[in-house]
Amino acid sequence: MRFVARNLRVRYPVQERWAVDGIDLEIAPGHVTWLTGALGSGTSTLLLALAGLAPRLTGGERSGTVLADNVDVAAISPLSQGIAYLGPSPALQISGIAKTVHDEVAVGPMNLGQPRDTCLAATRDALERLGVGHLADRAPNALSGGETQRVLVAALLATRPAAWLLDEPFSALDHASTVRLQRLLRELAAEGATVVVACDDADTMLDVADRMIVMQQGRIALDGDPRDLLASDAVHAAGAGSTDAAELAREAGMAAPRPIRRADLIDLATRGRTDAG
Amino acid sequence: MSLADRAHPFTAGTVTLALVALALVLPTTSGTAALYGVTIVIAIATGAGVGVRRGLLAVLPIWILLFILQGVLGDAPRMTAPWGGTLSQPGLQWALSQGSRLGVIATASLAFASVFDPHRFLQAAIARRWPFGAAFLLVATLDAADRLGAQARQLREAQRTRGVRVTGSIATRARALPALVFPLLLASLTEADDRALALETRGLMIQGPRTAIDPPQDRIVDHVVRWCALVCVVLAIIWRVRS
Repeated sequence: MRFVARNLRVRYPVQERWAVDGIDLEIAPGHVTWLTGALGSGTSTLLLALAGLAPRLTGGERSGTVLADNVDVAAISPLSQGIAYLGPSPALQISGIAKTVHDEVAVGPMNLGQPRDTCLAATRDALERLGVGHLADRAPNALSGGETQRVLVAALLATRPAAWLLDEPFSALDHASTVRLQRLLRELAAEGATVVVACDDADTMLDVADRMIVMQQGRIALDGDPRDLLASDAVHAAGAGSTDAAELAREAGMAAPRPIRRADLIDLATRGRTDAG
Repeated sequence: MSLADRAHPFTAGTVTLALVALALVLPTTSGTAALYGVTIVIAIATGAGVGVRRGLLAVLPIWILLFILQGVLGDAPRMTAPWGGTLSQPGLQWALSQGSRLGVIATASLAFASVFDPHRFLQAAIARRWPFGAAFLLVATLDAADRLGAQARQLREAQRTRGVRVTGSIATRARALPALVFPLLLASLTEADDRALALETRGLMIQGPRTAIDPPQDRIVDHVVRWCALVCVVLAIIWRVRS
């Protein structure tokens, strides 16, 4: 699913300032796009606008256009159009109609009216891919924050969406779950899905993102390859957080090192071992 | 698993509604008293006995009040009470009749509430192609009540750690009330927006047919019980109209 935003502006009720202010953007399928910026920079609002939820549900106003595969998102229900949105407070996205985690994950396919066998197969597959099969019989309201986050990603996965809009999806996850979700996002992108993630954790997103967009006061300040951008001081200047190594280097008065992805590190280590052998 | 748990959700609902309707329609004291007995038997037999105890606790103060106002202070003719003194005969009959009606309504409703499974009900409603909005409203309201209760408990603990005294005399509790109620109201209002977002993102607002993942079995015995309940109500109405 290709997103195209043209001169997009979004403002919340009773706010004079535009939270998103004149954005022109194209997001292609098959890639993981990372949105970041300082608090209040507009990343969450941009995600809501891409999902067609702002200002329809948040109130306020929008000007400009957002098209998802040439359809204006303002008029559509995201899930029925294949757009999965995960907000920053997963506990509030629990449906409230499911008795167990299994049923919670099945809510999406159920609402889409898919055949029962398809619903059940999609639910099983999603539980397995997120590693939450052992929670299937638990009550959705009795989960920890991290478990809820994983279950909700599984619930969205069960609907087999074409586009993923995720707001801070790693916020409550432990290391193992973070790695699993990172891998899933890469797999989804490889399968042709459009993945857009708003996240403050540069170290986590470095391993996942193909493209980095830094926002500042509702506008796009930087847009490019994450490794190129994180190697410069521009990200810091735009008010966004960088990798731990870059932040440490800056504190020590040194230039930010070029960041290395986990996959590249593993590749380097493997090659080193082979050379030594 | 009790009978009530095995029954189709619509069956329990129909029987409850029928008992309430019969309590309101049956004209005689003996009829309402017998119905109360039947309600108790049904509740216990189907595994919803907790409703009997709760119903009794709910109506007991009203029974005492009815007994005093109608039985003790009621009109003539009066009859001798077992402990001496006299009681109003028509007042006692009226108290028994109204007390039984209330007993049936309270017992049937509370027994139903004790076995009602909103999620099974939702699945049954989806399987029957009932309007999803109405069924969802019921289930979500019950869920919201649960969540509000949990939130209130968390808030009470939070306020307690801040030094608010939330236990003790009625006056102490009353003083703590604003510190508990206002944050709860504010949180509920804020949460309403987030919940709307959740409904939209989980596809709960989508129009069109839905799939019942785990529809409850609607057996022949369920059909028979529902039809019997309906026939009983119709017969009682006819009896009432003719008598």
